[in-house]
Amino acid sequence: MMKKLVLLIMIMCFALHGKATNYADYVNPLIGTQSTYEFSSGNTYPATALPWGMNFWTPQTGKMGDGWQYMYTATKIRGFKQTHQPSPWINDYGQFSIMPVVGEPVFNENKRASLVLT
Amino acid sequence: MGRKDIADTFYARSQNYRNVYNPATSFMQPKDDKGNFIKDFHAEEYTPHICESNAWHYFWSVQHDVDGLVSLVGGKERFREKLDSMFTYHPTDDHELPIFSTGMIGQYAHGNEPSHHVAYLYNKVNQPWKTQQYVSQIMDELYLNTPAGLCGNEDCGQMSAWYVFSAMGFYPVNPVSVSMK
Repeated sequence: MMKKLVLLIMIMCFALHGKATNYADYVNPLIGTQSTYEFSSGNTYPATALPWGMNFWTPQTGKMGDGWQYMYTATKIRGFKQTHQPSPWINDYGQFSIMPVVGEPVFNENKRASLVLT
Repeated sequence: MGRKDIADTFYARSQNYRNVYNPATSFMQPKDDKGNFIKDFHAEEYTPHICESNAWHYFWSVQHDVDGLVSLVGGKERFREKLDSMFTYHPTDDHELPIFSTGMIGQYAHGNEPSHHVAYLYNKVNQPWKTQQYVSQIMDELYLNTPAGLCGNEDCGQMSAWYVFSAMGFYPVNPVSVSMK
């Protein structure tokens, strides 16, 4: 009985240990995104990139040229933007935005903006 | 490199903070073009003389010579009093703070960077438990895992870096030295 118990515990240990840790689960990229020009709770945007990556991607709710390029409280999304922005106060450079649409392609960022469904 | 002349020049420059210290108020103060301290000085006020901060925040910006700053104010006891005041002298209800002065604990503004090392200065004057108390309070109350979770601008990673260092139990008070506190 004791041997079986030890064996069971060992198998459980191996099973748990063998499970790959997904470090991305430890990251919440939305921290600090509920910010406005008037009131900062971080002034961040949900950037994704490889460690030390040169190019970052973010969903874009603000207009091109607006440092507040993603706001948690926004209701419309305009595209997915390749960005190099360090802070909304410094703004972006070398950026471009793409947006999937159905039917005819729409390039105007106001016309293609779509409601965010939550 | 053996260039003692260059070393001397920069060492002398590193002591310039003493020139703007006013022993009468024990703050760093702005001077006029004659070299006199500008009158009507209030340490808690935000003026164009001190960029995006007040005299409380920038008093501690002598990271490279904390021992020198301690003796400048008259020793460890006086320095401890100033630290205690920093964390307990709250802005009055009608004092309108600028948008960058957030995450306040007394005059300490965690939402702005200039005073980020101040809680760690208690270690220098033999009161490490106060460092631990304030660092723990800041981590618990001013960082949340929510979209509104930070108390001020992330500012190129400094807010996160402060948390990561503090959660691991050390902090580079003087970033150009090789020591951690």
